Amino acid sequence: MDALFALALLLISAMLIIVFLARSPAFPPPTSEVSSNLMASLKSLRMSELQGNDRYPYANYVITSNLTSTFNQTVIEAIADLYMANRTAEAYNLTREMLEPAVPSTYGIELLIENTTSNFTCIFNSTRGASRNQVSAGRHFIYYNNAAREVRLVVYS
Amino acid sequence: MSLRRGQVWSYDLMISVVAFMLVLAFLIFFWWSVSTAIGMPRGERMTEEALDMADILMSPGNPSNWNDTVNSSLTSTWGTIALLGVGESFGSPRLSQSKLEKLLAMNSTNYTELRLKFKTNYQFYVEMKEFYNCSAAAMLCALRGIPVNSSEYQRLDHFVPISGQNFTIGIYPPSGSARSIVAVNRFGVYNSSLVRIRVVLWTNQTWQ
Repeated sequence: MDALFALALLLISAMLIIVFLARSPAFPPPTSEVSSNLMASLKSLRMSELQGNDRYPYANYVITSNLTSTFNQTVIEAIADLYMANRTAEAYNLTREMLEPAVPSTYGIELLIENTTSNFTCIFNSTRGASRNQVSAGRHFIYYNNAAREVRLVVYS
Repeated sequence: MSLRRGQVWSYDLMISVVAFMLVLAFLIFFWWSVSTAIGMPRGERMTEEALDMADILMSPGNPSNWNDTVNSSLTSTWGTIALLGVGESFGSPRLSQSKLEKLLAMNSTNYTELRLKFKTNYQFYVEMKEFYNCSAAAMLCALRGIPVNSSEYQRLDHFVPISGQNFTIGIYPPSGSARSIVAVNRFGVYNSSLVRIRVVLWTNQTWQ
């Protein structure tokens, strides 16, 4: 009799667990892939491709002034390179030229880079009135001064 | 069983509690099953479809060389396309000019068939834009025929021209009297520039 009761209680518990744990996954917000998508584009686009491209006058200035260490860098590597070389204004301006018109005005943008103490410092920030209800981040790792550092693009709305 | 003073626990109580919990568990299980069968809210369903369509569009498609195998003017040749995508390869954000041109031509041929290819129950609209300031890229804007005193001139985002026309496919929602709209943005690289592809699904119906 006791065993029957125990079995019944086990079956009830199992059923309740199945019901409450077998939920559909959380619904992804529309911003969920913007930052990773954008970061993938910045990782693919090279500074050499921007040379002579009228759309990016500041990038052309960076190229013609030889401000970055290699001509064949990707855009995100060039931004990080500028920042780590203490050319913070150039890094800011290049980031703004690439990101600000591209990201819809209802989203906020942050580009962060990992520093030597494993904290993040901000290369570029534009809130544009957006709150942080939905946040997505895209990551890329660069190698600078014999250390791997993370560059993180955060988009929020 | 004789009732003793101060006694709370009894076999009758145990049986009734077990029976009650069994009934409650079955009720919860079937309540959950029915709500799942009814489906997610329609707004979420439309958003999910828009996200799926955007992901497929940014992929190379299936087969990945579909642009070489179809005639954009003949819908009978479109049957070989399982998925329509404009990416150059998997994992790459670069977009293929050939695929974009073909997609634009297919849209001109038959929108309804194209909608079936995208496997969506809703109307769709897709646009691609690039980013530049006409003040700094005056030559570019002049070549595109953007008048200096126009609102287009002041904007930082501009339609990408493909085969001499702005890359837009589908039906622009206001033109179709859209009442429910979901938009999803994706980014890519085209013609050595950062571009944004906006996928919009819309319907004339509301969710009330």
